[in-house]
Amino acid sequence: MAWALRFDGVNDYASAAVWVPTGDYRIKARFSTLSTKTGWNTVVSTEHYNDWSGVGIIVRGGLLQLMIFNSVARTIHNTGVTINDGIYHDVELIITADIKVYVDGALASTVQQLPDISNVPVSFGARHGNSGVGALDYLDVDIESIELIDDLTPLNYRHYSATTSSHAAGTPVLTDTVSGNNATGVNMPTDGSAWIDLGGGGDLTITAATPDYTYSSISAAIDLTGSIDVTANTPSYSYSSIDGGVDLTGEIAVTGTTANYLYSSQSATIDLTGDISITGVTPDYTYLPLPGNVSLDALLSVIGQTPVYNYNSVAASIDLTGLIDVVGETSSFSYSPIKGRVSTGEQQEIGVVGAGFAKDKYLSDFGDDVYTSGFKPSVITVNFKT
Amino acid sequence: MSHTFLSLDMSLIPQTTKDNVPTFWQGVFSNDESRILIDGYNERRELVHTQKTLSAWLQWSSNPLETQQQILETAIEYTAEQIKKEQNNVNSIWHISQERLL
Repeated sequence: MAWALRFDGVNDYASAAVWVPTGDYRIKARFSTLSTKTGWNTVVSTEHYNDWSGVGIIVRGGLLQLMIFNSVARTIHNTGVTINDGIYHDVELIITADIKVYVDGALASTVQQLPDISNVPVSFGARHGNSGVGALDYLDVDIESIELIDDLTPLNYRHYSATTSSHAAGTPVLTDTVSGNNATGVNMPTDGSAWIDLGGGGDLTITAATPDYTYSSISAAIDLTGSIDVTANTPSYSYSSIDGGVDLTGEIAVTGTTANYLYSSQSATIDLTGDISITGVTPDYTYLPLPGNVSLDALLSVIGQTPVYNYNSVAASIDLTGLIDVVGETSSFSYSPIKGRVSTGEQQEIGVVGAGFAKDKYLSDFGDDVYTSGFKPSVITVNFKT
Repeated sequence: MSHTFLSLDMSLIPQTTKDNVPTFWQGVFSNDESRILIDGYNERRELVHTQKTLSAWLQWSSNPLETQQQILETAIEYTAEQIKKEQNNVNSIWHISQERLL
């Protein structure tokens, strides 16, 4: 269930305590707007005009722009990206030796001017006034999330989440889920109507090229209860969990080319209860628990070419209770348990249409051995000893 | 769901409110400082600021209910589109310049 905090563009804004990064830093904002206003209408800002410091993400004439203030210059940088389409966008500023502006994961602009660090409160939905009183340049925007990330001091991190905030009547608060430096709404409705319910479901639908998706959790759980539906090229997916669980209860359907899928877990379990359906070319699949279990209860269906399937486990077991059905050519299947067991139930049928098993190759006992085979066009029925 | 806005006469707002409510001066004021703009009514004609908020503003008044009634009855109501039109009108007390000199 996701929420956003709605700023009316007339008099609404939210204010949080001053944030001072100690090195390279990032500002991330997820928001939606239809604004056509032409002022310095602000999504999030640390800038102070009179002090010639800080940086702000603004929407001006529907275009995504930056305000960059330092002791030398005050500039407005136009990324040229039309952002006022009413769709939620992810904007990220990566501030190192320059400012790189990413929109929905794609590099949109690079700015050489760097902002000086300011000492004014962080402002959302508007800018702080030049005199420090009130606010300016109100933007009609729905803000779902703002992150302030200090890459030199990781603990100096703030994550303002409209979803986590209380949505009851009262002064709207944009909760900082990490450090407790909440942002308080000013001039905003206090009857609860400032909150917009974006609905739930958690579907992740991608219809464009994506560089990388990384979901990581430290001592927490990652729940992907919606489907992951990819119809374009992706370089890699990485799901990692440390002392937590990774649950993929939805379907992963890929109809394009993928580079790698990596599911890793340390001291946790990985459950894939949905189908994995691939109709394109994949180089590698790697499932690697340390020491944990990998359970594939559903169908693993591949129509296409795969070079290697590699299931390995260190001091754990691998259960393949679903059917492995390959239509195409495969170079090798490798099952390698180390001090564990590979179990496919009492009897499993491995159906291969294409290059099949050599006559003198077969799969029998399990233990520390590695079994590989080529293929011949036949259906192979294998009885396994348990 | 959008709400309307109310332009309140500053002369009707008690000095105690102006002196003691820390967020009062974070509001939006007309250029001549004669009026303050607050959120108004939702589609059900309910104030989007709860009575708790209004009571907090008028807690130092000797007659808070009468003061509240007078302030609201004399308020000028705008829709969001109307107030934005005022803000774009150079002749309006609500005009906001959209450009800044850098």
